[in-house]
Amino acid sequence: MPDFAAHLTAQSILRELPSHDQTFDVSTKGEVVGALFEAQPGLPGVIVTQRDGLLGVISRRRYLRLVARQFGPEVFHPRPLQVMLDALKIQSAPEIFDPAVPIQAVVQRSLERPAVQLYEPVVRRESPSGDGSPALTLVDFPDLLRADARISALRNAQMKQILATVREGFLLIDRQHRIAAEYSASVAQMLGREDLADRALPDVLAPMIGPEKAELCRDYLGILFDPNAIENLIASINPLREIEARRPQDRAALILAFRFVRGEVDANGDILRVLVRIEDVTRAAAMAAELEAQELRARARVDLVFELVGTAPDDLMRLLDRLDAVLGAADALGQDGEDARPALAALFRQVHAIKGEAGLLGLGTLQRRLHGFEGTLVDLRDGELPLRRASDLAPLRTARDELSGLIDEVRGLVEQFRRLARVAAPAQQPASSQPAPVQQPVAPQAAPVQQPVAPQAAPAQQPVAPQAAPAQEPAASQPAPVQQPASSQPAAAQPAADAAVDDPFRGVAQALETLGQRLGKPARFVTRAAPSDVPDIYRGLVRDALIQFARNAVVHGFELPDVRRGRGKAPVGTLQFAVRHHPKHGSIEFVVQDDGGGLDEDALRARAQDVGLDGRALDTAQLAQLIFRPGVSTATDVTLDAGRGVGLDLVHDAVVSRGGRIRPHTKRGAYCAFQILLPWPIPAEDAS
Amino acid sequence: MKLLIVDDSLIVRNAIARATAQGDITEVLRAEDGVEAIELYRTHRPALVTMDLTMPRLDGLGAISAIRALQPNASILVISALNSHKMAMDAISRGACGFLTKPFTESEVIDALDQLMRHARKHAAEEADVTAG
Repeated sequence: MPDFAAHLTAQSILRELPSHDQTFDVSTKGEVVGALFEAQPGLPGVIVTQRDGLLGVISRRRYLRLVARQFGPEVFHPRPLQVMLDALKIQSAPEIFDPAVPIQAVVQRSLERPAVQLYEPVVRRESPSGDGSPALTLVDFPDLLRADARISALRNAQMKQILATVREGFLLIDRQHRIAAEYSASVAQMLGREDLADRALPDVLAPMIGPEKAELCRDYLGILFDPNAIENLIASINPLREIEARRPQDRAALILAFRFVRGEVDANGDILRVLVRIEDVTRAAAMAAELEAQELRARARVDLVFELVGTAPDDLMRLLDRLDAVLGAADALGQDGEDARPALAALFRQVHAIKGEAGLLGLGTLQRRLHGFEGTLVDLRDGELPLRRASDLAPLRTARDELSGLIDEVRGLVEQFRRLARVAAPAQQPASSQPAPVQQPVAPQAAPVQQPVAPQAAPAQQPVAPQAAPAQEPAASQPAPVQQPASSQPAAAQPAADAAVDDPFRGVAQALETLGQRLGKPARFVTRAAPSDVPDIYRGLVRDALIQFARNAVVHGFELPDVRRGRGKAPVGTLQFAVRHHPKHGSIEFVVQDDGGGLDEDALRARAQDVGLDGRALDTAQLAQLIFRPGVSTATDVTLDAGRGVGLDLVHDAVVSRGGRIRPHTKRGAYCAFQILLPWPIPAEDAS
Repeated sequence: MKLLIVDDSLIVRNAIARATAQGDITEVLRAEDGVEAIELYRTHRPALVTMDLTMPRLDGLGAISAIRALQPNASILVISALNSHKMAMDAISRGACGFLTKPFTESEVIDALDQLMRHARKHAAEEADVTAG
């Protein structure tokens, strides 16, 4: 191959090829050209002009054909070149190519010439230089073909390089869905095999995506080759748009994305080939999933912030302290080699109570996480596997860590609020005092509902109307003071220290309204007592009880507004609270009453068997007592708000542990009241 | 150009019709099911059809087959929820030209109908060539 070819590139133009500049006027005698051909064996031809206008080209091949005739030299050598042109029947000048035209375009055009001119040299226009150099030159056709071959080889090499390095898989399929010989290396990598040429794409995919999806692929390819289907309007039903696959060699899970583009179309409009682009989007899909998860987390965080802002700081900190106790108790499980089920059951009840409180405080995020944690506890408690070692409780560790993560997040946010509060109100904040963790949304001592506080009711007076029984209770049937409260601090499973609670009603009204709103049962809290009517040592207990009764009233007690109207009640349910002091009898009485539908005796009767009792043999009072038994709930489904059958039993336990009693009173369709009797508190100085 | 909208939902029919308020659609016909669609197609021969798949009496697949039997070059666009790839491809195999998934935006309907219209014109031109030839 001549040297020129070595310097060519895939984009080379006609100017880069060697050319020959022998131009003669048409009047020149033939013998001059003959002598030149003899002297220059590499000369492909001469250009014949007339007054600088191109008349034609006499190629070496044509000249030799003319002089080979009988008397050829005698006829053509002594005569002007016009005679040769006439003999060659050249009536029009050949095409003159611009030197900037790509070589492959020149070859393409040249190959379109009539067969007799096919191998003729081509005429190239030279740039005018003013130095007398020729305006036209000839490029030999074999040189053009050699250059074309070289350029094609270069382009093929480039294409192969692209196919070898491109991350996407590219392949062509024909109407029988067979894969063409050339495809990118990624295709082989993604489809896990090298022998793809001539195989039907659906057959190749079947082991990776399953026969059913491979069949869908076959159907889709069928419609891709259907000219009636509009390409852009069938892309949305591409079943391989994003598909899970298993790589054949190692069964690795992949997510592949296939795109199809119609390629070669014949004169009848029939589609001959379709280009298939395959991408391994496993990483991208994982990243998209992670981004979505991040977005969800971000949204959840925003929700959490709003929830925290709407919660009284004292309530929140109290809840967090109780959650710390839960985490501690969870960590202790399975450490002593004993059966963890009893401790697990106790932990469950503790968690359930906190969950309820979180829900009532409007801390939905925390409530949901606790619900999940609670579910893990239930699964473990009710499972058949032994629970003696830490490894038996592995699911609990995971759930515990998730809960702990959320608690840390809450604490982090509270800390940020603290810093913000410091920055926002430096003047009001003495340097030594501890700022509130969250800006106080309500006045600390304000009653939840701006209800005029009733004057201290006489012991005999019934603050909560419907039933007379509770009022008579302390005087008549309970003359002896109930046991004195225990002097020790409550255990971890019990409500938090009473000293931490200033206002036993704070948050109750809001919690009641929030939950009522969520369940479509508008509700309000009315207290006939002032916070100061509740002795300090009982404030925590009363608040926990109110929260629990509030939840119970909304979930189980209050009817939907339409039902209430039908029963002649106000559409908004009311939870009332009253206190009666009986110092002479050594007792104090708290009454909480809702005006809902009363306890569902039928449901309680049905649930009695859950705790091993015969429901048919129980009267109303006995049935009502059942609601304080762990595991009894009248709710038919376990939801965020109710259904596990714990809650009231915790209140009951707390009352009993203080030497008190709790009695339910109910009337079907009218009300449900709880009368809590506790020992009259001894002033601190007397107690010591 | 006449457009026949076939969908059992009034809301969807109205939404598609709204998208055709401007442009080359001169008349909009509406059918609530496949049976009504065939009847209207037979009477009015609309150039374009949008077709739901799940409908009472006669579903979209049946209606596509029947309309294509009346007019082999009918330009039909399926507008339906993509509940099953198999059913979607069955619709195309029976002669629908494309598939637009619900829910859709107005611009998606406009764009899809535009493509369907070009497709219909191309077929009409080819038919004219054959007749002239």
